[in-house]
Amino acid sequence: MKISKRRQRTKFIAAIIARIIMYLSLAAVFAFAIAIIWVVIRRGWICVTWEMVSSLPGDGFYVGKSGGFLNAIVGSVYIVGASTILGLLISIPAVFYMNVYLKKRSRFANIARLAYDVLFGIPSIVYGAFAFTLMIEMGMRTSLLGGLITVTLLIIPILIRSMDEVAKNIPHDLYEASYALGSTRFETIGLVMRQILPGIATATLLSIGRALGDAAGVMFTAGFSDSIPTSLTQQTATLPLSIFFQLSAPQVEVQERAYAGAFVLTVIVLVISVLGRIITNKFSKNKI
Amino acid sequence: MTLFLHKLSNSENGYPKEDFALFKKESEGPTTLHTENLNVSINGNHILKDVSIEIPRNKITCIVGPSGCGKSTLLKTFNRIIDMTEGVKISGKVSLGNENIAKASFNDLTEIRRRIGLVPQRPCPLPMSIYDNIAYGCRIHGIHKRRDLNKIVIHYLSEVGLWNEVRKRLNAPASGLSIGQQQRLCLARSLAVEPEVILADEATSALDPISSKIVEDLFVRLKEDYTIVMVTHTLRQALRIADYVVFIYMGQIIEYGPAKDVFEHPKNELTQNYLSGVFS
Repeated sequence: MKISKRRQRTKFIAAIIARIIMYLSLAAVFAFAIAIIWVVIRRGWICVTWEMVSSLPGDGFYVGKSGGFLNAIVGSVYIVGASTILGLLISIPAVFYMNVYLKKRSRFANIARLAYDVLFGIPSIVYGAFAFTLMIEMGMRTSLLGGLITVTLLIIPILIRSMDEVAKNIPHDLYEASYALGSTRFETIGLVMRQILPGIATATLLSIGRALGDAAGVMFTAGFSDSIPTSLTQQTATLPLSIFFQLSAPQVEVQERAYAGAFVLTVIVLVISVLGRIITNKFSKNKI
Repeated sequence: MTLFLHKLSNSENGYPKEDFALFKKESEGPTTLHTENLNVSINGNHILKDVSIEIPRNKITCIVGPSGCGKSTLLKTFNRIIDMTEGVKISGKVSLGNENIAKASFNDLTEIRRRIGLVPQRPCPLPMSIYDNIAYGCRIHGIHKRRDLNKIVIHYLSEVGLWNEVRKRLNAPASGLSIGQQQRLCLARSLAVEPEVILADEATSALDPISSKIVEDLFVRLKEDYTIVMVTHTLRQALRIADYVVFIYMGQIIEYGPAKDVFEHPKNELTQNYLSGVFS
């Protein structure tokens, strides 16, 4: 078969155009990320001082007097850490049940997947309002506990859906190999776990990012406080809310502090992401 | 750990020849597996029709037949891996010794599957190191002592001729091996739990000619200790290694007997046509 010169040239041009489009979309996303990070760093780096990240808000902090937002940093770490652990404890068994125990075309699993997709799209303010109503019903006040339960609910759909997508693609042969050796389903989970470890890591990083950056979910449920909470029933500050309050202040020096907060938030996300990647790569070297 | 394993493998042929007998062997007599009036249907399609055969002990039995005739279904019914396919219905009897496989519960199946190993068509190493791939089966059946596991790993890697190739990288991921090596690893993995029967589902079809020759030779050597049931697509392979041949056509057993008889003097016209290449 002979391909005409013209046809060959069309193929060549199509390949080049496709490549340019792909390159441009990647570059556009990258440029946006760089721009945002650049603004945060440029405005945040000059404002951030050791005092800001190491001390609690002093008197008149929100009108420009001295102090820092350690309360918000610690509050965010508490909420994100606890809700990520809680979320993983709930979502990992759910993912295994859908993929190892239920059949491929199980109606229950598909309805569950649809439900998680819907939950994925619900804005966090709705989660906040839902949890707030529930808390009023139960006679609870805004607290660290309320905040972390809300954030857990918020990240569970992210965790489940992103882990599920990875677990669905595990080769059928692996299950067959495992059962053929006489493994039970529970023992097979151990193998599946090794295979989806990178997926679990990605899901965890995604949900940490979401949980750390979310302000609306915690606004009604965790409240705000100028001190570091010492028990689950106390109110707690979070970084996004702290940034929000400072940005909406009329004084320029207070607004600048918001950028310092945003800078700290970005650095935390960056450090967690890089660490997460390194750790997963170490543990998933045996993946097939 | 690798160093320690080197010390263990100091006998002449590179590995200690010993019988572990970690698991009790139960079935006795001239046959191991047999089926009676076995019927299998998948989503209403009748795949196997009234299959009754006996698989002789310590022989290689090859199942041959055209594509889609039910060869793999029969093989996968022996260890009930067929259960993983949706919509399967099994009736009749499949026995291993005194155990009725067709009626076994999921719990009994774990033990039955230990006694009937499976070598798949495409090798599928477990997502762990070479060492753990062999040790995994033993661990799930209750052997945890490092010393026992070391011995088992060396023994079975040697048995499949892989020991010298991988002795220096036992902790490396199994997925880094070549396809031929992976297939031998899968065989060693099945052997490590001391099965009585080995099922091989076109185990050499994904391999290059040299690797497939190695695996074939292995099967011939292994039949001293194991009963081997093979599904094969290539008649020449069956001709080379089979002791018994089962010819299946449209889910029914057309002819069954010693390989020599079936190949040289086929009784049934269908078998004659298949062997002479009229259809395949």
